[in-house]
Amino acid sequence: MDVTWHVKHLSARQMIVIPLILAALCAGALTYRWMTTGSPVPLSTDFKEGALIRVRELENRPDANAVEQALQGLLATDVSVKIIKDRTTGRFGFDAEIGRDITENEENQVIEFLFTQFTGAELGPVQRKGSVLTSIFKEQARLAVPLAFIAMAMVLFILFRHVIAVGIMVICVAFNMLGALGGMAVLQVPLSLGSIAGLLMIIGYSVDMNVMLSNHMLKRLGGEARERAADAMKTGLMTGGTTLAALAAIDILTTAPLLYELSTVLIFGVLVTLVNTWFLNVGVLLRHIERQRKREYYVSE
Amino acid sequence: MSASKEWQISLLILLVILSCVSIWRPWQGLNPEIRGIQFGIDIRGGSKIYLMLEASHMTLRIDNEAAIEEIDNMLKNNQLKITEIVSPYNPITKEITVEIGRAVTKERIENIIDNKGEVISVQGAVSSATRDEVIELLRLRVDPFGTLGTQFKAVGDNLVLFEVALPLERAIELLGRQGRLEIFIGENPVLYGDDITDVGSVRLDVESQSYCVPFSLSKNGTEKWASASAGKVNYPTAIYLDRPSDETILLFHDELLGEMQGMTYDENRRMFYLPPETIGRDLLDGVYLRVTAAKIEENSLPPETLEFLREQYGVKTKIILLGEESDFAENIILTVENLGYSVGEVPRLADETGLDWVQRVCGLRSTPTITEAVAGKPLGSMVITTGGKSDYARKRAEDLRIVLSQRLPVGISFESEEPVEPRLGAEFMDEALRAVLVAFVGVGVLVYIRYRRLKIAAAIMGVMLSTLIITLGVASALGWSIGLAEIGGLIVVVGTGVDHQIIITDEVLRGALPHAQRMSLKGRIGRAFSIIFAAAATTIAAMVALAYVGFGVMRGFALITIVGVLIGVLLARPAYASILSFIMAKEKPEIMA
Repeated sequence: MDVTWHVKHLSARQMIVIPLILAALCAGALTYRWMTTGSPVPLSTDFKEGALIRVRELENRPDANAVEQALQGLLATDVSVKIIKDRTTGRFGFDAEIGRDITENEENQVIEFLFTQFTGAELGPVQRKGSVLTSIFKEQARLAVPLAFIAMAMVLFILFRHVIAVGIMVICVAFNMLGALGGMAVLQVPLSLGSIAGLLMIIGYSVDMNVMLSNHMLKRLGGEARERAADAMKTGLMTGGTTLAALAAIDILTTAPLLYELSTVLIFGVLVTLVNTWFLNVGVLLRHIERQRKREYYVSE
Repeated sequence: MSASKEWQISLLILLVILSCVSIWRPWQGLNPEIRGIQFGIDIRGGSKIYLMLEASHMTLRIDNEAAIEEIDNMLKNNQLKITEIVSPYNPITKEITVEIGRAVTKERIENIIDNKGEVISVQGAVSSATRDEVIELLRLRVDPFGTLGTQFKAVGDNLVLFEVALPLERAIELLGRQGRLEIFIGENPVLYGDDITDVGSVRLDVESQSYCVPFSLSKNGTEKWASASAGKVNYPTAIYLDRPSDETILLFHDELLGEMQGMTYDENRRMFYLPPETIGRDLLDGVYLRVTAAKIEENSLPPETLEFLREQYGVKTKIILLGEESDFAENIILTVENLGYSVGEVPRLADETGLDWVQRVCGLRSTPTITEAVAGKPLGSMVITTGGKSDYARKRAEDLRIVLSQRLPVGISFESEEPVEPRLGAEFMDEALRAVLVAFVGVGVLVYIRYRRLKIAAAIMGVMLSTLIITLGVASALGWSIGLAEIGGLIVVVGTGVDHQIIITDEVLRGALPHAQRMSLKGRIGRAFSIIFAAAATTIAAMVALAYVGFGVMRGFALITIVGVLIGVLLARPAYASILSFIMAKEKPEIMA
């Protein structure tokens, strides 16, 4: 089977359609989730405003997982627990961060649960907890991501001096992030420090692959454009394959939620990158090269 | 193979060895632990500190909007200031709510603003804008590059939760004495923390042969300084950090006066006074320690002091005892508590002189003299020298630098500080190690299947491992902590590293394909590198933008990616190209043409 079949036989237009449908589906999934739940992707407790309960003066070390699960069952929302040890008394305690505000009724339930579970515990008042993102940070992030894209586009333009090639590369990177976000919405992977790292990694990863393709298609002589693209694609599938293998190992073999989030987002990102590079970017460049050749023919007539 | 290429391989090996040393740190004992790498809070545990922000929201009824400026000036004369308009002036109800960066009582505000307006309510609260500003300032100070994995979260109305993967002592040290800075000339506070825009590092001034701290003032601060310091050549300034609030009265035993050296107590002003000769040579004035102090006798409150305390209650609400509570007769503490005061204590430290003790309690940190060069001049930047180039002078300059770097708009105190137990611990490390091993083998097998040459697979994996070790070595040498975002960055570094090596290999082997253009080995490697450099330059450009604007996680991730990609492009990939040429020259000399 020839994995590069589509590059050799499909028309440019046919190649371009597939990633556009994919991007539309991802955008649709995000919009749907936004409309129904209020945020396009789920948020982890770090990124949500919610409630915080402080429990102190425990004789024995509590089991963070067990407490988390019990509270999650009780409140039907995500809870994250951090164990604390008082150094002077040697006693334990924990802080439970709850992923949403809780009602007075729920608060009473939680307090009752904690009292029966941990006799003699000292409970602090339930407090409102903000997100790790302050308003100032949100402003910075709003600036940082576009700035990263502009910096990237500028460097690419200096290197390739080709408006269409650079334009489509930037679009591909944006589509790749959109694809990863869509994957998060579908698989319910929360936006956390881990998945943010994953999203940022997609920038670096997808740039690599698109640059390799453009280099093959625009900077080389000899052979048919489609053959050069197929050649580049073989290398691209190899690099994508090694990355996916490594990520799959991390995804399957570790249980830490943050690593799971990071690797899942990235697996999605790499898969989408493969589609966008080897259909969208190839399609646009082929269309451009083939048109240019037509024009050359007219001139020579 | 030319010798000129071999140095790249040698350099790579040398750096791997250096990085191993930096990660393992054998000078800290020869146990097989890795000491150089600091892991994130989930893996290693860390500290959790709750900080309390002290600010008040007051609602006033005033005749017109302009009156608020007058009130702000009156507040400033009383060392308070408006940090934020919470709800703007409403011309119908004539009410305005503003935030003051301190905890204050209604009585005190009423005393200050006199008849300029009616105080409707005063309550402890912090606006979210001020809270976010404080969080960002703390973040900048504690973890400017986002490489320590710190997190700040707002909790409740006025708490900030600070988490970091460092031991408690270090965490407290980093947060430092986050406090409120005030610089007085005579009786008036002239500059506050937020007037200081930038503090330079301590340096030795060549001309005066003395350590000094340079700092810059905002435009507003520059003007305030110029008008307040005019004609004050050879007068002292007083720099306070966390001066007790103006509601505080210090209570001290009169025995203390007996052993006081370099300091007197002014009975009329009820303040301690540092005469000029204590502070420096040729001074024209001394410094009053701007905290109200009242004297007591060994076992009783003198009637005069009792009367004063009774009179002041309302304006003053806190008592600080100079000494431990047990040093004071029980009936004294009972009496002041019955008057309504809250009571705190500041015991004397071992080997502390009376003078140092009182200065510490009052928050006085430094008393630089105004020189002719700066008096009355609108200078945007100034320098404080600490006299001499001894170690003591340098330490004082370092301390002063930290003091000047406080620019929080509100008062802040530690509400609680606790160590966090690691969540994932040893189990997680085992798991992660296993995953990395499987990933490593998996990639190796794929590469082998593709190229069918053990040597190439080994070279790719070996160079990849070197890149990883060197990047970790750099992180370890710089004291960056490896949290999840950084692990993400490392995966990028390793992942793009393997990708680039595959690109190089494909280009080099392509020479053997029939339809390929005939091209020299050098040309083919050059072609691979044109891809690699373009990709790396683009990634770095994007990451620099993220690091420049972003905070915490984003910045840590971006920095480690930049370092790793640079190491990869400048060291590892050229070394790999050399190794590959080596292998191919032996196996297939025909494609080496």
